[in-house]
Parts: sequence; C-alpha cells; structure tokens
Amino acid sequence: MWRKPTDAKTNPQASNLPEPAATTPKPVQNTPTNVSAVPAMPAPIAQSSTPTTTPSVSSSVPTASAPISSAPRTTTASVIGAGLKIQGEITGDSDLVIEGEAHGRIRLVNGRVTVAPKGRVNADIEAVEISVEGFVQGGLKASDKVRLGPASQVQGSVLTPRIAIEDGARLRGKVEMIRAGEVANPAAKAPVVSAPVSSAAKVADAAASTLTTEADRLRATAARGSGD
Amino acid sequence: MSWTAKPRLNPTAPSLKPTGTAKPGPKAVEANGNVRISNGLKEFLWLIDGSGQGRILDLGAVFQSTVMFFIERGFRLSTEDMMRSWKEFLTTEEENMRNMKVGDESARVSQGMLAGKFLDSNLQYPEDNFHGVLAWDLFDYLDAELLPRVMERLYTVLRPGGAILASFHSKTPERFNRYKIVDGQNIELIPSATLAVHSRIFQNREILDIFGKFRSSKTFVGRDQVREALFLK
Repeated sequence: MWRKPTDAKTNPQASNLPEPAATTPKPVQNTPTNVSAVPAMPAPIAQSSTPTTTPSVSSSVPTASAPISSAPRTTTASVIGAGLKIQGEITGDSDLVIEGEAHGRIRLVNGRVTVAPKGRVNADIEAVEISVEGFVQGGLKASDKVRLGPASQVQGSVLTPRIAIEDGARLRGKVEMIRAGEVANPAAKAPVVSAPVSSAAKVADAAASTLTTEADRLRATAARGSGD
Repeated sequence: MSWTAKPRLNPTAPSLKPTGTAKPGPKAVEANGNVRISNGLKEFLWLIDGSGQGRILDLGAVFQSTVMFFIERGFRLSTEDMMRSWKEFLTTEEENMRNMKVGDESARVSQGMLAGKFLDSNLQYPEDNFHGVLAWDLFDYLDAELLPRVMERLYTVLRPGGAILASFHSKTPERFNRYKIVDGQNIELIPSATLAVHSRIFQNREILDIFGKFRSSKTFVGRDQVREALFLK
C-alpha cells in the first residue's frame, strides 16, 4: 500500500515559495503513514493528486538525481515500499518512489518517478523526470530528464529531452531525444516505433500497435523466447 | 567481395574523409592513455552520415558519451550489451542444469542449442532496421556456434548499404575492454571485468569468411595491433 513519508522532500524551489500560512490536512485514505500489513491492492490504482503545502522542507525521500524542474512542486512523494507489489495503473501529479515492485503503467505527468536500487518495475513510465537505480522493464518517457544510475537495468526505450547515464548502467533498448515537455502532452508525443521485436512479432504488433505498450511488447518477446 | 585492407603505418595521419566532428584537444587525449584513434570509426561515421536520422545499434556497454555522440547528430541509438547478456544467459542455463535431476536427458544441450535459445530472446529487431552496428571487442569472444548465428542476425537487421564496425585482436588481449566514443575519431578503452574468455585470434581470411554475406570491407590496424573491420551490407 502507499506510504507517504511524514517529512516533505527537499524542494529546491522551496525558498522561492511563500511560507504556508496553515497546513492543509492530508487526505487520510491515500496517505497511510505506517504499513505493517500488505492488504490486497485493487487494480487499476489511481492516485488522487491532491497538492499539499508542506510545513517542513526536510527530506526523507531518497532522490539521487539533481533537482531540475523549473516549476515549483508542492506535492510530497508517495512511496511503494520494499516488500510491496502493486499491479495496475498509477496516475497523478505526485512524485513517486518505488522501493518494491510495480507492474502495469505509471503516468505522473507532473511528477518525478524514482526507482530505488531494490525497486523492480515492469511498466511503462511517463513522468517529468525519471531516475532509475533499480530494474525497469518498459519504456521510459520523460518530459524533462531521465537518469540511469550505475546499478540500473532498463529494458525498453527511452524517450526524453535529456538523459544522464552513469557508467555501469545497463540499457537494452532505444534512446530517442524529444523536445522538453513533449511527453507531458500525449496528443503531441511522438510514436515510439522500435522496441526490440522480432520480424514475426512485427506483423502481429501492427494490428494492435496503438494499444500495445512497450512493456507488453517486451513481455511478448520474453514469452516467445522462453516458449521456443 | 573485395578485401581492401590496408594497414595504416601511421594511424595518427589525418584522414582525407570529412568527419564533421570536432577534434579533441591534444592535451585531452594525451591525458588519458586509454584513448586511441579509431580510423574505423571515422570511416563508419562517414558511411552513415547520409542516412539522416539513421538508426544505430551499439552492441557494447552503454555510455553517456557514446549515446550523446549519436543523439546530438540526429541518430537514434539502440543499445544491447551482448557480451553481458550472453554471460548471464549461460549462468542461468548452468543454474538450470544444476537443478535438474541426475540422468535427465533434457539437461543435455549442445552449444548450438544454447546459441539458438539465446538468440530467441536477444538481438530481436525488425529486418533492415539499422543503418549501422557497432561491435567492438565482441566477435573474438563468442563461441564458434554462436558467432555465425549472430552474424546472420546482424545481416538481417542491417539495412542494405548499412555498415558494421567490429574489432579483432591480433594477439590474446591482456584484459577485457569496453569502448566508448570520445569524439569522431577517438575512442576510449574502459578496462572491465572479464565477461568471457577470449575465444580465438582470427586471421584476415577467417574474418572475411565470418562476414561472408557482406559485400565490401575495409580494415584498419591500430598502433595496438587491434584490427578494426568495416563491412557493408
């Protein structure tokens, strides 16, 4: 389940923000602070995007990448903790840190997604900034920046205006540059064509190319490989 | 196919071919002893230069500088660390065999079967997809069953007129290196953990045989006696 840290993350623009006059109460149903049990998570999961002003600027969220967004964000990061496994679609405006497992689709058009070293994601990720330290099988689409840490493993295409790849990172897929902010608008985004697919699969994929995600294609490829 | 290999006695001699890339400062190159001139890369870039937003496949480890080198020139780059994938595949297969019951006949697999199984889930790209393939320090390390199948697959995914740049050692290398592009004519050797045992030294004639389906070729011999071979589909 979702775990929201009690402290807000460091916001580089915090000094430019007006001091909050009062703390907005956080929605209780979406921000449990303690996760001791692992109840079944219904899918798809849609996270409500309720911006909350934060009284504190101390950080408890591991974000390895440098602050890059010019727009001030007032949301705190949600955390999929280690040992949690979530399947479905995750949408919203909040930042997200994945320390556990996530399958499906992640779309945070105004948020930042961080895949922690132990995090495993089998999903297409779409966000302003994506930072990967763990494992991702699926396409990465960032409207600002993608960062692949030294121990990261990514299988899928990367679509971003800026990319930072540290030595030791593993990437199996295509890298393509786009204009900043392009991904945030789905109607204007460029189609991703070349996932690693076999020629036989290309014909099959053509019929459902508009519906098939990068992760689906990769899973199909893996399934064909194990089935042959 | 014509073999037009001409060892360059002076690898530092400037190329007549336009590269369109800025040369690094001599101090920058000298400061890093692992940087070497790659005439094969220069020729490779010249060959793919007219492909517009061409697609490149890098079969080595992914490095920021290599990615940005091609991206900034309008290319689309795909990367697949084939050596690492092969090693991990073999490790997994070995583990599976260990876990099988004694006497299980299905545990017996030939090298050919392994190679086929590996390619079922690797190098999976559409036909005629790439304008260029980079394969530094790869083919020397592949076993005899896998190598021809990889070559067949690479021939398939290359577009007609596409180029493949590979390197071959003239003596058993002291260490395993990764390669990243510094600029249009220099590459940097990154010492790396050995992923596979160096398989063999290929003679020029054998290299021609490996690339049998390709239509033309050129080789460049560096000061370190590493041969860079450039083949066109």
